[in-house]
Amino acid sequence: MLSIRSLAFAIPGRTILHDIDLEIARGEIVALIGPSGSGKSTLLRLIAGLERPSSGDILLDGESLAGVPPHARNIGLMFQDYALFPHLNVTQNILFGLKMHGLPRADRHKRLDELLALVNLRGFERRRVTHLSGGEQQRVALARSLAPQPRLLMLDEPLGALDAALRQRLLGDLKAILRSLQLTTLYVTHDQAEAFDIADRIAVINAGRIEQIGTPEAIYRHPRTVFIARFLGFTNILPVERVDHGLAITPLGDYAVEGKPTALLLTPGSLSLADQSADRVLEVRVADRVFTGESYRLRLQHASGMTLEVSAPAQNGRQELTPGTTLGLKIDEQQIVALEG
Amino acid sequence: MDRDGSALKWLMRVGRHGLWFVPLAFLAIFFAYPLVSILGVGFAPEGKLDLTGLIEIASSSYYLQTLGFTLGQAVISTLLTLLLAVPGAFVFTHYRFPGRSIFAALAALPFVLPTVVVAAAFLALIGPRGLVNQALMSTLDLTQPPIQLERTLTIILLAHVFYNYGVAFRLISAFWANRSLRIEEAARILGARGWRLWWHVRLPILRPALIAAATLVFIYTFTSFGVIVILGGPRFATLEVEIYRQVANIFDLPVASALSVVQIAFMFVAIGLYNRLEKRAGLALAQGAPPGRPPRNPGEWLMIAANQTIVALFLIAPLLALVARSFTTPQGALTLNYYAGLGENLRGSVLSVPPLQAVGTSIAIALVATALTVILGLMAARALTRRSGAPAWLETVFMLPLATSAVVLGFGFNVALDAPPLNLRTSVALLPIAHTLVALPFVLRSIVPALRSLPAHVEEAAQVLGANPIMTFWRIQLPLISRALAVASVFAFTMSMGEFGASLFVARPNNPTLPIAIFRLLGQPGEANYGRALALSSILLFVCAVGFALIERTQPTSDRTY
Repeated sequence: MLSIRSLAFAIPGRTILHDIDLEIARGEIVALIGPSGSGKSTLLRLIAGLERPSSGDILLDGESLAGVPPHARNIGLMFQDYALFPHLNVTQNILFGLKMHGLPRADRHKRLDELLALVNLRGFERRRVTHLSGGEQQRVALARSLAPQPRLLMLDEPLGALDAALRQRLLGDLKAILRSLQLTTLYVTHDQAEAFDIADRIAVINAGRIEQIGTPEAIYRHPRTVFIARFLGFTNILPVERVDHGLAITPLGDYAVEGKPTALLLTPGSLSLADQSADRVLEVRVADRVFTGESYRLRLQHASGMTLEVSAPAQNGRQELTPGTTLGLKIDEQQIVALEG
Repeated sequence: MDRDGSALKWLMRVGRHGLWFVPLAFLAIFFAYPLVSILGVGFAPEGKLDLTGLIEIASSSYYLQTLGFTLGQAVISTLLTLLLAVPGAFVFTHYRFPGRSIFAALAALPFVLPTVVVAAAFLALIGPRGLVNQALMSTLDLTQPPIQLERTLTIILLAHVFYNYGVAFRLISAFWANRSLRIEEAARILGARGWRLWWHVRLPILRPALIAAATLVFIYTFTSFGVIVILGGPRFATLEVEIYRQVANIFDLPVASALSVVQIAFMFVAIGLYNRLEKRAGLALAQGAPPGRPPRNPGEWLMIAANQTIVALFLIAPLLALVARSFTTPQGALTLNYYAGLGENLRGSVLSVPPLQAVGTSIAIALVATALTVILGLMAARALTRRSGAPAWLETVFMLPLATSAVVLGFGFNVALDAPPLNLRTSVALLPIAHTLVALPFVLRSIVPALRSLPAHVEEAAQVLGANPIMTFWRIQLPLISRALAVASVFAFTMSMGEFGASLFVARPNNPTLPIAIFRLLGQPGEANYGRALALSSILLFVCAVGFALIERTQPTSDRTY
């Protein structure tokens, strides 16, 4: 449906996006995640036609969008700051796109009814958008983007301007709306939890390059690079000093690997506390212990200087977990993920 | 892509570039070409380099004296203005008292008044036929007016201070309110009091605003024309006046050109200096009422009362005198004769038409000039604020007319546009075009910031929703800048109504504008001419005051820069 081929974008002195390839199928929700400044919003702007690519092509339903001005693309874009028209009321904002597309008045108002019901804004028709709360503005912006029935909907940090509690609730609403409309959606966020919640597939972008595309499960289980692992919140990343005959040499010992990884990800499942006397158990010292409710998060220090974080169930009187004590740590080699640079 | 599609694209590209090409072409033809023609007349009247004109003025003590007088009166006017404006700004920013905001608005009124109105107002107050002299003559039974201020430096300086007080007052008080009140409090806690507070804290902090205000007042008084011509009489001449006399009376175009070059050089330096100061100090005339506190003791009350009384008298008395005198005979009786006489064509009058016709002429010209200025201003402003960027020099170019005095502009029109290839000498279009040039920088200063401060992304949001560039401008940008646009229009209108210096060169003798009719009537003997001049001035005052009130209402926190 949407097909991005070798897309690049540069401004004088800096390349913002390198060689982007991305395919989105009809009705699919793809989340684009990455830190701020990684080029997420720029990619949306290129697809919308607000910027011109330096090279490469964007195809929608098999047709190239090169040279098509933004107003002729019928691609929806919801801005992070919503960009509502301050001089128009809720109805006028929502119907703006339909008016521009020349829809007859009666049809416009029929569609308005549907949209107001969809985003739960009935009764707000005549309100000034400047007098709405953040959540209400967000819903007006969503209804406005949906109104012209765009071929592709792009949402740029749609919940970014809202506080945490509201964000959780609106994410559920948004997901339900997108699912019910079966709309092809490109969803930009820097919050991986949000992406996991809403997306069929996730594309991780870093420094202008897409580093990995896949389902949330696939990405979580097999992050391809150190950056992705860190971005997803993994903390136990073991640097590989060198690879010798299929054996990765690390501060915590040698592990059999394929290829030439630059680091090893010790997933939470790969680490367990064990009896110090058992076979292949590392000796670590508790450096810090944080009570998190369900469990303790322990920061463990190895003689090599490496620190690892594990969580241990919080039970009454676990005196042995106080800082300074020495513990055994077992690493399950089956659950180690090899990472690239 | 089919042929029609590419043709359309080509058209839209031309349209986009045409946006700034149109105002640029306008400036090239009606601003750059006249200025270059002046240079031509000054330095190469016969087609080869000939510096006779420049040598003549450089070696003549008369012209050096003229330059000296121009500089001297500008410096004295500037100092006097600051001397009155600093206490005014102090009282306004530090205390809360009844009538404070009315006072602030009133202080700015003179600035939008045409020079001829200001000159007429001072004549009506303290001129030989003015109210004060009339009252003194009748009570003291004198045959000669006791106050002889007409054609003196004093009345010129008074009018200049009257004119520029508001500009200096607003600039200084905005600066004061924005940044230095807190610092003053800190200094007070540290023990600074009395003159030490002024000398070590207030004045040093205010320095950027003081220098900027001084530069601005200097620019206005250096190019003073109407006030000098009407109030000063033949004894006094600034460069501006001398250029006019050389052209109108002596027909010595090379000397006039050489004087214009000197004038332009001074103006470029002064305007350049002001722009630097403005950028560095972040000056603005933003007029949010500063907090202030109620006066605490009789001393403070006395200081406020004294300041307000002096300034109010100074600002209001001439305007009241103008209106009052236009309704009274020399004997002090009420009369409507001067207004009734505006419809008559006086035999032997300097005007070949009834004075009232000048009102119609001015309004028609002002309407055309306003429309032209706003359209060109919108084109230029949109080009300047495009995200894809206009070249950086473009904004400077559009502001250039600001650095050229009205008389030089009028003279340029005279030299350049009355001969082929562009013969517009008798064209009615010249006046609106001249007024457009004068008003364009001011209109841009209103529209450009408004366009720049539009909420981020609204333009793009409209495009994504299917609005083409024209629709986006029409439905989104234009409604969002409507206030700034209204202010700009009213400003352009009042400027055109009162424009004097350039009009004097290009107005057709048998179809004068309002300021020119006033000027001619004031130059004639006889009570009838005098009274009609005051009546016309009162009408012009009314128009400008209404415009001013509209601007102040539309823009409660006025961010208009001079």
